Amino acid sequence: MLCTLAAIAALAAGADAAPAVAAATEAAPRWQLSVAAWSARPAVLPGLALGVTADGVRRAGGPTYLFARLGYAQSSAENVAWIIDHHQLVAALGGGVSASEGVARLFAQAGVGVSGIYEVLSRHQAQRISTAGVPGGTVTDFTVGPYGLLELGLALQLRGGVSALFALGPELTRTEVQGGALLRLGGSARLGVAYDF
Amino acid sequence: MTSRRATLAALLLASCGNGVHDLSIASMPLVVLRGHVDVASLSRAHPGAPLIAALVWAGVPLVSPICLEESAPGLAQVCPDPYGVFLNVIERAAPVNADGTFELDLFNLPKASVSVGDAVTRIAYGSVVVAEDLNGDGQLDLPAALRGRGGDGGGGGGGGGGGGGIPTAPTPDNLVASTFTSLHAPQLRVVFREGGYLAGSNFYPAPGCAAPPPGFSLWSVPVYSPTQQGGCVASPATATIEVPPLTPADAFALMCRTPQESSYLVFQPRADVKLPPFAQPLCISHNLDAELFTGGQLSVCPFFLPYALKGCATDPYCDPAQWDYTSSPPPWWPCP
Repeated sequence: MLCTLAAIAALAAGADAAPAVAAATEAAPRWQLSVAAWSARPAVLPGLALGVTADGVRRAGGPTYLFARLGYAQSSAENVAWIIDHHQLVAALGGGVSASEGVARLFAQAGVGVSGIYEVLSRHQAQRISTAGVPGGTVTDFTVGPYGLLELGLALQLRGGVSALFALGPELTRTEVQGGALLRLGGSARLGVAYDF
Repeated sequence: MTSRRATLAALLLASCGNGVHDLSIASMPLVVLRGHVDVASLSRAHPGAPLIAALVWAGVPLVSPICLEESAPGLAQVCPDPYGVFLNVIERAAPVNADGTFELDLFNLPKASVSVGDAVTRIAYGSVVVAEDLNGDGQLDLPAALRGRGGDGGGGGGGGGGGGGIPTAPTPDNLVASTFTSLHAPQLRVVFREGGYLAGSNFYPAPGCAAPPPGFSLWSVPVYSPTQQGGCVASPATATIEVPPLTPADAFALMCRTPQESSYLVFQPRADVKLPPFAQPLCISHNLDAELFTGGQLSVCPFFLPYALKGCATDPYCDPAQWDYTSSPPPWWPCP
């Protein structure tokens, strides 16, 4: 992770200052699309959820902007009876503020939305159970609940409209688990690329 | 406006859907076997003991070749009926209710050790039994699980080693009913089938019968005959299982028929062999001595240890023999 950030910083430092001054005099791009690798505390299970996010940003004027996010992450765990796979889908809307200094842009944003979890419960030896025609080897469930996030991030302009971004912050989910509600506060981190246009 | 905001907030905070699970999720049974036994018809040696029901998977019958080849009178009491069911793996036990009903939750598929076949075709047969739980532990205790634990006191009435020095085997639970006891009786088998079905298999054969369905099922099979022409009836595993009572003799024989690899062992009659005083020698021939254990020591089930002057580790009739003491039998050799 540190080596990757160092390489990105080196690329950014090599960017020509003259084009940066010229870009500043042009109209600032109003849109941004980004994709990022995403790791976070799972909404229900222990361990780590890994996935990807895709954001769309529209600058509202000045330092403020609005964003929309779609994300997917997967986590797994098992006990003596079951293997539990959770596929989490999140959709959020929010806003933020940013400040630029040279090729670096610092941003802080908050959003709310929904988190959907598609669960696959598999017994151990599920394939043997299924092959034998015994029902109940695999069971699926789905639930949707509210989702919120706060993020603090850094974007480094690379070339043209492409920049590298890194962000982290807390997430809050509320999930229906075994008849009760689980409110979970966890951390998340994203590392990706963005394109301004 | 306030009520709209409150409604919106409630919607945002609410969750919907069936809900998911975390690691505290308990196991769910693959199938539940429901049964009934007519308590009044049981032959009970211990009427005060609670009754338990259990599913026991049958193993491959292991019978010493001496039992199959020899006909010495004393062998009948220590040799199992090769047409009987050999109880092997106890899958699940549960208490019997006062009205004779019970439920057995099966959480696992049968182990490979009781599934007979090849990589793509396997079948397992089980018996639903009812027993008097003499030690009250809620589990079925069969002699195979207790063999070798002589002198540790056991449960209901086994006594201890005491000061006499003669070990007494722990008392197993007392079988009183069973659905699958012998090929020489009508059978209701719990069946688990994976893949195909080998009609020609000699694993508890049912000649002329169509294959039982895949997965778990109940299979009613008539008395075995080599010329049998079917007559088997398959039913879903969810059907109620009626467990017929056993006579005390049949119950004891079933309890003692457990597949033991030691059934095949043959021992060298070395000079330093020290047999316990309660072993009874039975000379089958000059070459073959069967030491009988029928007094309840070491195990409640009668068994024998074969010694051969000339033989192999698992076959007293082998040629060439792995050992030969015929020219110089040990001093304790009882057979003229």
